[in-house]
Amino acid sequence: MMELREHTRRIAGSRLFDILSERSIESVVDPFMGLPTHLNYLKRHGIAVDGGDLLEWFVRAGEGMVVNDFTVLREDEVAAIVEGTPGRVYPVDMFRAWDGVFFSHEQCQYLGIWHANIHNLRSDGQTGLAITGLWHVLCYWLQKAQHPDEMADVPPSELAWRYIRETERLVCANNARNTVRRADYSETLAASNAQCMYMSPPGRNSAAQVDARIWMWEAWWQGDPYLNVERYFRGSVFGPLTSDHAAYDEAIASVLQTAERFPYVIIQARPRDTARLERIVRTFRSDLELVTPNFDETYIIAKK
Amino acid sequence: MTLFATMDPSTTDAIRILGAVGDVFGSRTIGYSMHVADVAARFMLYREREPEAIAVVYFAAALHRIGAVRVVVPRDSSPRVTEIAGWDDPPGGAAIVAAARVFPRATADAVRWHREAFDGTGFPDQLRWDSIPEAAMTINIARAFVSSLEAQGALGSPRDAIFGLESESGCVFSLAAMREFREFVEAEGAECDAPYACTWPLPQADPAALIGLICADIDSRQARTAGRGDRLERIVRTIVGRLGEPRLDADRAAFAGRLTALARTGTDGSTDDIFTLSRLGLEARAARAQTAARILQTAPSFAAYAPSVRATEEWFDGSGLPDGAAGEAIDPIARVLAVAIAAEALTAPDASRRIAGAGGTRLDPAVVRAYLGTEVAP
Repeated sequence: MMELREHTRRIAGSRLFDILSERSIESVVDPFMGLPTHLNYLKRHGIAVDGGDLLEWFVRAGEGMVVNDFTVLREDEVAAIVEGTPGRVYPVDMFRAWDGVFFSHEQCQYLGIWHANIHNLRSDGQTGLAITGLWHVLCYWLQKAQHPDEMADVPPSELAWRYIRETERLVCANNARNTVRRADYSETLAASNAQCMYMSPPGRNSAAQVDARIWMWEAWWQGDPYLNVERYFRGSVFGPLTSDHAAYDEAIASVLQTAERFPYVIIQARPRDTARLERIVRTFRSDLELVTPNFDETYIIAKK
Repeated sequence: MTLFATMDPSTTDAIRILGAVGDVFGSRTIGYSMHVADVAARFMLYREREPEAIAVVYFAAALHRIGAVRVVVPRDSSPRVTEIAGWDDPPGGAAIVAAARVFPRATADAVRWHREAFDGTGFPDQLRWDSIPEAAMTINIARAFVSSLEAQGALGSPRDAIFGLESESGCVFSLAAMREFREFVEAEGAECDAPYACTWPLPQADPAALIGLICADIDSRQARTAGRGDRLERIVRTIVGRLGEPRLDADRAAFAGRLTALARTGTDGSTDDIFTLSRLGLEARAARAQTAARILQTAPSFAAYAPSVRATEEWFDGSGLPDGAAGEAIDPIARVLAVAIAAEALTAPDASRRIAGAGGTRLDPAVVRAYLGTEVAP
């Protein structure tokens, strides 16, 4: 059984929207977006958003909830994802390596079926929504493996149905061109004309500590249960070379340098990092403002 | 059990009124939010949390529906649009709580995230796992529990109510929180939702200002009525001054004028007061005035205003609603308010003529004369 880390970065689109709207900022780019629910919130409230990440499933999810303006999954389409089509041959052994280790035999078979079905969808928007929905199923299973008596037994297809249907609510349009890309931060920033760069910096050498629910889903999407996501981050700015403070600060500085042309830079920091990050930001921009809505969230807002 | 030193009873009452306004906008029975606050605070007390943390949960739970005031959904919107618009309730509530500047700092965030789900499918931010603050998760459980309890009616019991929540363990509610809540209900039994006396001091709180804040928010739902409370207050003060009636207190009447905003609660709180001199929409206006009175009656410190707000749709000739009272039998402040509401709502060039024409039927002629003599511009 694997340990599930409870803590995750609190990235709240509604909070960010308050900060952006107080400053009349209408477009934002996040080069380290992760699962872009915050960008979806901003999009729903009229902000044009661009995002980037190195993990493909985050980008695919972004295509469903950030780029996608109108495409939803109809009931028959969801049904075609969550269950196998009779007569079709499925790669039910694809995730055999996880069988009995993380998941049951039946669950592994469903992972194979869903993997095949999701690659048959007709649009990126639908694929993104389905990936997001099915990811919740993975999280549910992993959680239930640890606490089998405290969570309801729900058949896999029913659980998948429920979570994919939920994603329909994420589809919205804001009359702007919103983009996501699988790219390094510099490429994402170079492609964006946003008024503001927002980032919640990944932790030091965070690639080595990626949550199981995140790397597993990338492995699922790539169809390779042995996938090691650390290689994606090997040459990246917050990769293994940032395992000490000095290298980490340098990484932050290089992002800020690339973001120099953006009128605003907003960095979300934890209390223990705030002073250090503030010092780094000051070397690039002198007009600084700190917003601390609660004890564990600080936003360093730097104006050009 | 009383934990805290002091809280002005009128502040508690102001919070009750705000909670009730949220209930009406959120299509709940009046008193629902306070019920949630009782359960949530008792749950925190059971977990032996710090007094401030308990106070945060109590205030945030009492005000958790208040954000609905800021969400305006066009009529005849589809269920999907209405549902998605509802996602903005919590941030709206957080903004209202923060604007009040009297509650402990964490209260606004507890309101903002009280509908987040542990598995990341909640709203507004789809926060997940333990990035959801404990206070917010507590309110969410208490909210679901009270809904389940109320749905069961008189025959329901806390143990039955919690049964309906079990399937959401690990989905909407964290496993740890659900586990603790189950223990809490088992331990406290029927006492788990008993009224809770929160006396956490809010030294900066001005109860009238708190209520004025929410009344202004209600008025701001529509462009025409934004700032209506200030205009009404001016008109009322002028009329009362002009009447020279010793039994009429100008401050009291002016505050009652602001409170008429409560008669615009609910998603259909329309601008139909422009028809206030006609019978068109009289039933709906009178029903909302009664709702406003019920809201005020939840708070003893403000209950004295209830008859005035309730009677604003009574006609001087006895043909109004809800009681059909006539002449001097109508609450004197209500007679002033009826003229002030018409004066504020009517902007047509013939407003004065129409108000004058309504004297003796819809309006009290003495109040009409006082208003017209002042030449107050609506």
